[in-house]
This record gives sequence, structure tokens and C-alpha cells, in this order.
Amino acid sequence: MTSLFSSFNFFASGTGIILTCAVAAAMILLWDWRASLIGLIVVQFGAAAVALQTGQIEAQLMIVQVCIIALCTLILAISIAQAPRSPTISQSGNWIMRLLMLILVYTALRLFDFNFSLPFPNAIEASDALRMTVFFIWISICALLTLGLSNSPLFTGVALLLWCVPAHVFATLLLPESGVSVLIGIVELLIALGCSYLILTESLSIKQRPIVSTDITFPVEGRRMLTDSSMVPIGEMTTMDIPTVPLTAEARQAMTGVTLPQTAPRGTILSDTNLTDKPPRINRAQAAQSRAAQSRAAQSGAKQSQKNQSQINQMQANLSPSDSSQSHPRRETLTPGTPTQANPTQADPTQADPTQNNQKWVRSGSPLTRTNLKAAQKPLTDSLPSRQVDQSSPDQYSPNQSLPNQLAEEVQEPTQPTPNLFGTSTHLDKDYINSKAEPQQKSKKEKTGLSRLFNRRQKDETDLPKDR
Amino acid sequence: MNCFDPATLNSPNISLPLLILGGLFLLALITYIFRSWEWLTTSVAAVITGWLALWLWNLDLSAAPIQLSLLNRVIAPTGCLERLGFMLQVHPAAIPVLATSMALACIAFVLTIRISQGHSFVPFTLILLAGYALLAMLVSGPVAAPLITPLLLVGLSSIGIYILQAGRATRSDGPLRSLIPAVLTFPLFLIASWYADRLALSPRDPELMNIVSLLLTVGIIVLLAPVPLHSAMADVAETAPPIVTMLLTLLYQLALLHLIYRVLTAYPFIPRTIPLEFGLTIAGVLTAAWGGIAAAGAEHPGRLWGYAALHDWGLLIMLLGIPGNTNWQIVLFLFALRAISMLTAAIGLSAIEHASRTFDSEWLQGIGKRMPWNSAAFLIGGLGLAGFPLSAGFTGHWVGLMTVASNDWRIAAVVMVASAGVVIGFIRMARTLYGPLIQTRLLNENPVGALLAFVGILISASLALSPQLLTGPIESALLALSR
Repeated sequence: MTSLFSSFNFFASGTGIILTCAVAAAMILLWDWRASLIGLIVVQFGAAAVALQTGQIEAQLMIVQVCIIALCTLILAISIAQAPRSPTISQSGNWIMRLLMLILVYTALRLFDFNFSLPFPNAIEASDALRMTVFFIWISICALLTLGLSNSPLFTGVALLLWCVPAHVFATLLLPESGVSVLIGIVELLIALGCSYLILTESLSIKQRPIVSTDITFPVEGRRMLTDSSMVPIGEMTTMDIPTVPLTAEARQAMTGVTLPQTAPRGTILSDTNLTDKPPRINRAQAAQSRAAQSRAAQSGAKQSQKNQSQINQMQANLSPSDSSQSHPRRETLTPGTPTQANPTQADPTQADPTQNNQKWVRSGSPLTRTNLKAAQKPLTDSLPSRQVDQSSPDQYSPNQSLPNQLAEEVQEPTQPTPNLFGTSTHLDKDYINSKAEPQQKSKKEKTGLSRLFNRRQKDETDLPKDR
Repeated sequence: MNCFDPATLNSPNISLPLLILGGLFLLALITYIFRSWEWLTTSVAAVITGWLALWLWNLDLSAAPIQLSLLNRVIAPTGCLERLGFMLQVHPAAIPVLATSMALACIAFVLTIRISQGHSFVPFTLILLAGYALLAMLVSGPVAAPLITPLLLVGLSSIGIYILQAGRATRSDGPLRSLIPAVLTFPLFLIASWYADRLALSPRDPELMNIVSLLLTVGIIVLLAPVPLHSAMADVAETAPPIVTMLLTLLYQLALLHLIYRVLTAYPFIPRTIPLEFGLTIAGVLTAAWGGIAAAGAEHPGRLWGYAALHDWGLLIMLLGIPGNTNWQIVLFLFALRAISMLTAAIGLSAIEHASRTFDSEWLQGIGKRMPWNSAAFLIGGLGLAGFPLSAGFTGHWVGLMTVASNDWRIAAVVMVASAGVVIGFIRMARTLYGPLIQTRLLNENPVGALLAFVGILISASLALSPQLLTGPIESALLALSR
């Protein structure tokens, strides 16, 4: 390792110091966890090389410091790997803002000319002291900038470790035989461990867990919930509760300017997948899967089940045609819903042309995708806190009834053309209109499917006192 | 000094620091193994820490060594422990800090028996307690004892993260931000120690004195976490378990007050060379004012509590900046009342949090009708932090405001207005808690919980009516600190 420093003594030169400072700035500019962790090691290596050039410090101490920072980055990286889908809650603005911040700080440093010098032992030459002063101040400023721009455990941890890097080197120079260096190393490891723990819990704070734990346990169950696409937490389920206002082809055309096929009957309500210029295509695997499912249903001789399976396959085919079936093995486990009056002739997914059917697709806050459908497969009680499901109330959701079945029920609901704001005819969800216009009057339709869920949520909100 | 050598474990003498630290670490290990039996671990920890608090408070260091017949050892109360460059000793100034820390931990453990704050709360708290005891007993270290303290505080804050987050799927801002002040300041203290060593060689060098004073002043002010470095307090109070919040906040602030006292004692030239009082006064006014303003707009009970505590902390910072020797008596008095108020509020808040499923607004509405005593404890404790009349903090705030007003009445007026903001926040919270009940399925409060809340209210009311009850302990603590 000692020879490693000697072979990389480029870092101790003027160009090397500038390069290390640039790396510290790049950590802020890029704002990527990989760049930050790698940059942290580079900065520590550069600081060690600069300190070694003074000749007042032993190489072993610097090696230990580099190893500690490498260990800290490893700890943080492992936590990131444990929560791969965890974005940071509070982003730090875009790169232009960060670039402007860096330019502002650099300009301020150049203009004000602080004439500030850190204390160094007398044995260190003035040129080395000046070089190290500039270097350490810049690294500290970068650490403070990162700290100010960040609200996530990862980048805060990186910022705190970056702040510790010059402090560690400096303390080793000033107090070489005091053992403070060892203490700072221990503290750095503790900071990294604490932040890595918070990285894991941060991933859970985004996807709220149904049951809040009060124990110090690493969130294994929650992580499994995140990685398993079949388990969708509350945050995604609530998108299904957003009031549904399906649009007709004409209304969509008026809004987007996309010309739709002329064969679409008036009043056809389209899903988001129909909004592309090209008609959706069904891939072979999907079609084969649908055929296989049909043949299995035929062999079983259950005519009603076949109808239901066909209808669900039809729904699948229209949701996200470009999605690969291999990546969703759970698709085959779709269970037939409640008996419906679907036309058996429309069951073939290869004929799933949007112009050929009159299915009503519910437009929600996010497109009704295949993932959402699979999420809906699970009973709502899996995602909601148990106290939110009052099984004693007949008006509320029955946990034994899954959302696909409700969707299937809604597919059969007739819709009425209603003029909209654009002057075109729009099919509004009748339940939605009723719920908005007369929330006190509940029809039978309101007690089914998504409308019932929405109305229940709306009722909960209206029950809150007015002063809140 | 004749210190204990760990290599001679067969020696019949055991130093008191070794007994305290070793005992706490051993207890932490045992309670971690049995952490799933929470009622058992908390009960044992409460008994041991309570006994330690009482024993340390009544400890006479000049008495003869204590014979431990069970271990066939003799405890030397004045014996010291030297290891890794650190020298630890139970000196008179450390006893009040140690006893108070143990008493706070004991109360927290007692409260945790009823309402869980996480299985790992007990072992981690015991480790933290050992760390804070180490800080109190630290006589000398690799650098001067007060100047190495911030570095050790970083380690303690890092350990505190785990019980503050407590595995909860909530925002991690509070625990994360609690790290920042200590991390930012420890380099300043280390550089100051280097200058202080040079100052010992030339004690009348004004430049060195200025540099040391500047570094330590900035370090102390940042460690106090005034506005705008305050956010950890409110965030922690919002998301962390209330009892943990109370305990860690008070332990940290007690260690901080001890640190400031030691720094000002070791470097008495600081107030003469740097306007420390001015800096503390400005920081205190900003903190108290912002705490009041933010509390007036806070709707979350935990956050409201945090801002009330911030307001109270601002007044305490302000009192630290008042020149003279009498201010330390007021500071300790205010801190004792602050501890009582925070404790009372934490009792109520933990019960409310437990019943309302982490302060779900739907469950919080009207919860006072089912939990009248715990709701009252929360409100009275919170109002005590604002110095509301007939609450524990009233006398402390009154004395503090009078002291501040004697220097500048305008600052006292600002603090009064800020206190009104805190009171407004708690009045609104009282309307919520005692308003119409939404969740009729909410159960009535537990009789034991109601009893604990009643005891908290009783202590607050007693100290509001008879604040002289604290005079004796505070004078004893001041006397011990001045030795």
C-alpha cells in the first residue's frame, strides 16, 4: 500500500489537487450515488497523498484512513443495494442549480480572498501548507454544499464523511500521537452504519407499510414487499381510488389531436394504450399464453370459467401490449372472476383491437397498467391496515372480493354520453357523477367496484370535522 | 494519581468508573439477548438505573472504600480508570450529571414497561447511558477533556439514530439531522485544542487567545443547535417515539450544559476576548421566537411538542449568555423544570400515540374524551415548556424572563410573544383532543397509564406551586460543579 501512494503521488501535485477538487465538485454536480461513493474514496486518497507529501505523517496512518473510508462506502453501497428501488425523498434540484451553486461558491472564494490559513506544524513548508489549506477548505465547502442540498440519508452520510476526510487528515497532522485519529475512524464507521440504517428505512417511508413497526428491525419484510411486484403497498393502491372520468375517443381527439381509427364507434371509451399513433400489437408470447389458458379452460369443460378467463385475458391484452409475459410469471395465476355476460366471441385476445370492442376503461391518476391489475388481484386487505376494513359493515368492501372481479363488473356497466367542457360528447362515469352531484344518495351501482371504494374514501373525508 | 490497571484484574480494588461502565455494558448485552421480553428487560434496567441514581446522588467520595462481599472486591470511589489515553474518575462535579442521567433513564424505562418504544430501546439506551457517563467522568483524554467531548458526542448521536428511528417507516430527517451539529463542530474543538496547547507555552498571547475563543464559541453555539440548526428537535419529536425523544434530548442537552460549564471554567478568558454572551443571546432569541411562531402553526402533536421544547431551549440559551455567576443557578433551575415538563408531556404523548396509531388525525380527534388524563398530561407538559401559569415551567420562565428583562426588556417581550404562540398551538391541540370523538371504537385509557399521567400532572403542579422544592438539589449540584 505504501508503494501505492508513491505510485500515485500525482495526487499530491498541483494538478492532482485540482483534479481531486474537481472530483469533489463532480460529486455534487452528478448527484449519483455511485459517483458520490467513488468520489469519496478518490478525495480521501487525494487528501492522504497530499498529507503524505509533507513528510510529517506515516503512510500506515493514511492507509488506514483510506481503508476506513472504503469500508464506509461499502457499508453505504450495501444499503443502497438492499433498497434498489428507493429513490431519495427530497431531490436536490437539477444539475443546473447545483452547477450555479458551485460557481457561486467558487466565485465567492476567488473574490473575497479570505487570506485564511490553517494551523500546521512548523516543520511543514509554507507552500505545502498553502496547498493543503486550499484543498481542505474546498473539500469542506463541498461537504457543506452537499449537506445543504441533501435531505436523504445517503447524501447526508456522504457529506458528513466528506467533512470528516480533511478533519481526519488534519487531526493526524496536528495531533499525531494522540490517538484522536483512531477515534475519528471509529466515528466515521458509526456515521456510515447509522446512515446505512436510515437508507433502508427511507425506502420504507416512501412505500408506507400497512402496519407500523416500533422495533429496531431491519426492514426485511418491507423490502420483500418492494421487490415483489405482486405486493403493492398503499401508496400505489390509492391511485385506483382516484375518481374515474373516462374519456371518449372524440374527447381524447379534441384534447390530444391524435386521429383515431374511423371504425371506432361513437362513444367508445379508450384506454391509455390506445392513444398511440400505431394500433397496439399483441406479442406472440401473450397470444400463446392466452390460447393455452383457453385450451385449459376448454378441457375442464367449465363454460362459465372459460368466459371469465377470456374476459380477463382480453383485459390483459389491452392494458400494456408491449409488456413481456416472461417477466410476469404470476400472470398465469389470474383467477376467474365472478360470472359476467361477456360475449364469448370477443374472448380471443388476438382480436383485441380497440376498435372492435366497447369496453369501458377507467381512467385513473395513473394508467391502468398490467402491474396495477396484478396489484388489484390481491385482496385490498393485504395492503390496507386492518382497521380500515370494517367487515361488519355491509356497505364497505368485502375482503373476499378481489378488484379484478369488480373491474369485470364495471366493464359491463352501460355509460351515457354527456357533454363535456370541450363541447364534445364524453362518457362520464355515471357513478362518479352521482357521487359528485349527490353524495348523500347512494344507488346500487355506487356500492360496487371502484366507485364504492371512492365513495367510502370520500365519506371518510367528509366525516372529518370542518375545523380541521 | 493511582489509577486502576485493567491488567491487574486480580487486584481486590475496582474503580468506580469501571464498575459503572462495565456494569452498564454488561446489562446492555444481557438485555439485548432478552430484548423480546421487554417488560422484563425494562423492569430490570429501571431498577438498576434507579438504584444507581440514588446511590450516586448520596455518594460520599471521602468515605471509606465499599466492600463488595459478593464479588470479594473493594470499590474505591475515588479510583480512576486509565485506558487508551483516557482517564476516568468519579469526581464531585460528575456526580450530579451522572445521577441525573441515571434518573432520567430510570423514568424512561419505567414508562417503557407500559408502552413499548421498541425491543432494542433498553440495550441501546444503556449503551448511550454508558457513553454519557464516560463523558461526565472524563478527566483527561488524548486532548483536553472538554475538547474531545464533541467527537464522542458524534459517536453517541450515531448510536442514538437506531432508537430514534426505531424501525419506523417514517421520515428519517430527525435522526439524520441530530448528527449534524456534533459532526460539524468536532474539528473546531480539535483545532482549538492544538492552539490551547500552544497557549500553555505562551499564556498571554492575545492572538492565540482570540483564536481559541473564536473556535470554541462557534463550536459551542453550533452544538447548541439554535435556529437555523434546530430542525432536528422538531423532526425527532414528530417521528420518533416520545419517550425516546425526551430521554435523548435531555441527555444530550445535559451533557452539553456540562461541556459548556467545563469549557468556560477551563478557559475563563473566552467571555473577555469574544462576545460569547452576545452570540448566545442572539441565538437564544432567534430560537425562542421561531419556536413560538412555528408552534402556533403546528398541527402535529409531536411537532408541536418539539417546537415548544425549542422555544424553551431558546430561553435557556439566552440565559447562558447572561454574564455573571448567578445565571448557572437559573439555568439549572430552568433545565430541571424543562425535564419535568418534557417528561409529563412524553407520558401523555406516548399514550396518545399508542392509541391513535401514530397520530392518525382521524383517531386523534376527540381522543381526550377517552384518554382524559393522558391528554391533560400532554397539554400541561407542553404548556409548561411555554411557561404557562400553573404549569411546571412557569416559575422558571418567570425567573428567566426577569433576568433577561433586567438586561434588555425588548428581548423579554419577544420571548413573551413567542410563548403566546406556543400557548395558541396547545389551545388548538386541546380543541382537537377534547373535540367531538370520531373513532367510537377507541378504548378508554389504561388505569396504569392514567395513574402515570396523574403522577406526572401532580409533579408538574407541585413544582408550579412550590418551586422551592428544587432549590436544595440545584444548590447541591452547583456546589458539586464548582469544586
